[in-house]
Amino acid sequence: MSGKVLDVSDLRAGYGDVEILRSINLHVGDGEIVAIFGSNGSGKSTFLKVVAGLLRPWGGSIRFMDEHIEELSPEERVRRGIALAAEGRKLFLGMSVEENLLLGGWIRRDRVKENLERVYEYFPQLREKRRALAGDLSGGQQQMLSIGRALMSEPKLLMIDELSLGLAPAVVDRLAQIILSIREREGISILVVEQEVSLALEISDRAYVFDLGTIVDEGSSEELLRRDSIRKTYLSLM
Amino acid sequence: MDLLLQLLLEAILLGTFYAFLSLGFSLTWGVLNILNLAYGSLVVLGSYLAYSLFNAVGVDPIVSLPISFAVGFVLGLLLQVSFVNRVIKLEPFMVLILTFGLDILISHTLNYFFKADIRSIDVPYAEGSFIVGNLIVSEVKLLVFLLSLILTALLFLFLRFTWTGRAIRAVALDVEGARLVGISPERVFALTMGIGTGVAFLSGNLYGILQGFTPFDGGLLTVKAFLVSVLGGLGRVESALFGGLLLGTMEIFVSFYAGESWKLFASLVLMILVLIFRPRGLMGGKYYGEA
Ligand SMILES: Nc1ncnc2c1ncn2[C@@H]1O[C@H](COP(=O)(O)OP(=O)(O)O)[C@@H](O)[C@H]1O
Ligand SMILES: [Mg+2]
Repeated sequence: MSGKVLDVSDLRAGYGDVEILRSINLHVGDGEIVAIFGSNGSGKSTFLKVVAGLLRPWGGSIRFMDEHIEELSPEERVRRGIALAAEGRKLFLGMSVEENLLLGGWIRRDRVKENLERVYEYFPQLREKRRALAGDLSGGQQQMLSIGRALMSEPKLLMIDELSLGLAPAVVDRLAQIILSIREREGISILVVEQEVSLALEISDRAYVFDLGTIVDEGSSEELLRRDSIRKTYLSLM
Repeated sequence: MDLLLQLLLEAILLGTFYAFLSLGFSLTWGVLNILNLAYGSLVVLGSYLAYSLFNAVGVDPIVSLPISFAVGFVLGLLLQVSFVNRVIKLEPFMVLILTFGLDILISHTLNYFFKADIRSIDVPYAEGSFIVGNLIVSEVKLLVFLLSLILTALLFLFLRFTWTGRAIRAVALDVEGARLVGISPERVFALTMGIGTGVAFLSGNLYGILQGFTPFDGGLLTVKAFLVSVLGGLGRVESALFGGLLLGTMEIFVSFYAGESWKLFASLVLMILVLIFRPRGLMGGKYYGEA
């Protein structure tokens, strides 16, 4: 393998005839945590949807583990190892927490017991709430469920849209810890969209900055944290 | 008092059959979001299948239940793959037209082959009735009641506890969420249409045991399935039982006290009241996903 789990080049996509993403070049290395940030409406969620297969690209290529996946259905991409904890979470709100997790393991039915145990270790709160309806959980618990459900398919690439949006700071800290330990223990790659730039750069190895459907900046997170333009625009620091 | 109990008994026996009858209709409604106007005709098709198996080949009408389901299942799959999948992407109105056309096609084809005479399937071992206390229990009604109850329970367990059942409920709740866990909604749609039509055929098999039928009973059966779905609240097996018992009770009491001809009228009035005041049904369940 090239060392790149996900390798996207010259990707274009949009809705109807409105082009949203113009020429996106982005990759995620093996075991890397990569963050995407940028203003609202810059196409971050759209990008994740295209990678997950929910939206067809207009052009360009998406390679996953060195294979082209542009034509694959979302289901097949899950099977190959791509999981998305989506914007709006897309949980089965009328079902119990445990049923949501079981469904997350739809393509790994043979190992659903082990995986359930693993997810409950990361998120003990979910074990306590396993009989509660997903719709009755707090925002933070729903985010945990969304990530937990994604983990149930044993992904090689875990994508998370808006990790911290709407969550209390204490919950965000816990989630950040858990994300790091997931990478450590699973050895998987993580692509996370995060508006809170300081958090995004804190948990990631590298980051991309989206604006108006293009990438306007990229680099290692350490370097970006030090860069003046980033500090001024996104961290409000001088 | 005895009369009241007798009427209640009749209501429970009939209502449970209505509950099962409605399940195929409400399942495709909840999961695929289509109103299948051909549902009643598919039920009647199931009656004629069981009738033919019994009269031509001598297959016992209980033994023919699995056959009915299998034939209905395959037919439903074919319908979904060949027609509905193509039309469903268009307007809901087009799906209504399609199923309406199918309804006419089925009833007229049946009429061509079987004529409009009333047919019935006579179960030799359940022709009489017996007495418990002061109640008269018709054997054939009891038989259909028991079979309806068992089949309803089976469908409930299937939806609740199997992987496939879970996938069906997931698609009912959130199609995109289902895609994200690797479920193919298109397959689930086809499967659901298969199961829904299988249930229609099973109901037809039971309907044929319960009473005489003609090729044109479909319309009324569709209305009944719709009523039960709306009364109970779409999307749960428990709701269907509730709706079925309600419709059964109303039919039995209205026909006894006001006369047979008021039955349908009363049902429709009740339905309109429910749609106005409790549009999510009296039980308020939502689609087949809810726990
Ligand atoms: N389903 C949709 N149909 C049409 N336009 C959309 C849709 N979803 C998003 N957009 C538009 O695409 C642009 C990018 O949106 P999105 O990818 O959600 O941005 P971000 O996640 O970076 O906030 C926005 O202008 C938004 O209005
Ligand atoms: Mg977004």
